[in-house]
Amino acid sequence: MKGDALLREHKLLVQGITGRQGGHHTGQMLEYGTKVVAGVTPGKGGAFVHGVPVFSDVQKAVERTGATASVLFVPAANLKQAAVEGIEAGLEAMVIITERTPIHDAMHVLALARRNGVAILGPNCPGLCLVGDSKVGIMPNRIFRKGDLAVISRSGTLTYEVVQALSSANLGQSVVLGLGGDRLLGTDMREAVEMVLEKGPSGVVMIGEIGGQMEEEASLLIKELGTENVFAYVAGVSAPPARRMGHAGAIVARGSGGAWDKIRALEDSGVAVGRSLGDLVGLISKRFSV
Amino acid sequence: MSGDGMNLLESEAKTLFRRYRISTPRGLFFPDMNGIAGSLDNLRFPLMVKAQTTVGGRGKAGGIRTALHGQEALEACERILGMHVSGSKVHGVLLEEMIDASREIYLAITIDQPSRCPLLLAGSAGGMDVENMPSHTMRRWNIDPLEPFPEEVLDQASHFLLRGDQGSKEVRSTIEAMWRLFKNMDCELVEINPLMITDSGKAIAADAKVSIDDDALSRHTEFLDRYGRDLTELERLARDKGFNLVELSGDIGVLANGAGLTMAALDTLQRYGGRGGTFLDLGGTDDPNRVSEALGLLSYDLARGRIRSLLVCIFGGITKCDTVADAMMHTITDRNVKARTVVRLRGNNEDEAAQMLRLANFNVHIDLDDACLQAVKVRE
Repeated sequence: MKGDALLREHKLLVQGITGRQGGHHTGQMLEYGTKVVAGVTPGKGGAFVHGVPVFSDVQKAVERTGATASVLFVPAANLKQAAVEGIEAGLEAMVIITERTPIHDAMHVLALARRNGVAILGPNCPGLCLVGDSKVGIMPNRIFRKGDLAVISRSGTLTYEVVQALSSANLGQSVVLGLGGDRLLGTDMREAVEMVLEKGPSGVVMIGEIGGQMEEEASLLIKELGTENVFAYVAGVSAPPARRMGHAGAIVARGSGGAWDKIRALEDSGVAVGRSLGDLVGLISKRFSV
Repeated sequence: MSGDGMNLLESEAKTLFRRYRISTPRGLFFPDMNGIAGSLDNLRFPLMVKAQTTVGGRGKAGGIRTALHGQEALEACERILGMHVSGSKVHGVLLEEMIDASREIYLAITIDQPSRCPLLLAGSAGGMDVENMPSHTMRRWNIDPLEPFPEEVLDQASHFLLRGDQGSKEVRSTIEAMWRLFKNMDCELVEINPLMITDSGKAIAADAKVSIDDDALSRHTEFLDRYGRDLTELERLARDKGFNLVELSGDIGVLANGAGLTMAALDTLQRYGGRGGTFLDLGGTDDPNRVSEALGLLSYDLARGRIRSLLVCIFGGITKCDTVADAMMHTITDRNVKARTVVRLRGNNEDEAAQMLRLANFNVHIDLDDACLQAVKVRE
């Protein structure tokens, strides 16, 4: 998969631009400086949202505006169709904000994207920010501060918390990636770490949570590469087994996916793991304080 | 193995199996004792009497019994219907004719997270916990979700399981039927453990586990009313309002926006000796109306004494914190509730919001650790 397509600036298309969320965040993205060139909502072609032209299908939007990536705010029931349309129109990267996508639909979309070399972030993610240049998705504009840290996270508001705290502590970021809370993700933690390392960050901050093996797999990569200055926080040490904690992916199932296993795997790979959010920011501050 | 979605009862899963032409033993389901005695004549003894639950562990809990005659069957039903399995209610009992089989195998189709693909699991030693099956008796195949089920996997699986013995054809058609069911019904898991292979080469599903993706339930309306049958009253109220709420065993209610933040707040409470009583995740939103609605739910929980303090933790990214603060001041007017509530707001206009709430006598903090410490204190 061409994951690095996510870390390039694109001419952006907003799928589901006429919805409440799509409209609001189009405004926010424009304000941040993202090149939003088109929107798509079936049947609403010809309209404008924040001055952005709306088309009825992705193919036409791509032909007219040269859009190379999209962000999807469409309802879960339409996600599969909308994403397939984007893939077939030749987009290079897609960021899926939509929550509660049926898992079989996600499986279909991710397999088709892989087959066509399209990079996907999400589903159920807050998007990404190339700090100072462009923001795709729903992260608040004002939390970022330009710098060299890369932040990778499975959680939305927890990312905002950490990024804001980093910014207040004068620890700037170059890229912030919200991977999403679903079980099947277009870009998982290991792939995200691999991607951001290409950018040569001064440090990598990982925010993980219970469920699955993503943090463990990422720590294997970190160990293999001997990457330094990696920091992490894992949410859910107090979570009971077999209960799904808000995110579809956040569940300790069959004795696997517990927070302590992840913390141990990360520490075993030389990652500095903060035991609380305050701890995490403290660890990073200490390492980078002049 | 259990699915992560909505688990059907064995009897419901078997109804689906029959619809997809997977053979099951003859049997009858009863939600309670009504009608059992009168129906026993229609079944051939010996019978299996099985607790119907949505959670695993019924075997160890004594929820599977055999009955050689009517009296035994009735006694087994009485016992099972009064049971709880892993803290979960028994939803009924399934009476089934026993199958005489020459071998028992294991089959499952599930979703493999790392490869993001369906996964076929086949085991030549069925009938035990899948975790305990020796690894050389198990094989796995990743299946491309964009293609029809591959013929060669059918060949390989049936050869691996039966080595050309009787029943190959039926095993193949069972796997194909499981695949159709898995795809058509948005399943997270279709599992048969064991699949009985009789001397004449018939394949019969002695057990059945089906878990349906709850995000796809709108496509399977016949199961909509099954969703949430194991939820508590509070969890159901929250679900109807569109919140993620998990009732926990502690006594501090936690309300936050975003699953990660809610978990982080619960974790931090634990560091200070507190234990969460609710996980209430608003989702990514900081919409003041949603905050108010969620506060209403937890105030109710506080009033009935299940929780003794309330920690509200909101990151205001879209809305401004002072707007959220304003909504909170209008929702929490009861002095007693206010005294047991600790608020932490971060994000846009956090200082203004803290100022407003402080003037209205709320216990407000910017730091998560401080807020958690307070939430532990005020419950006394």
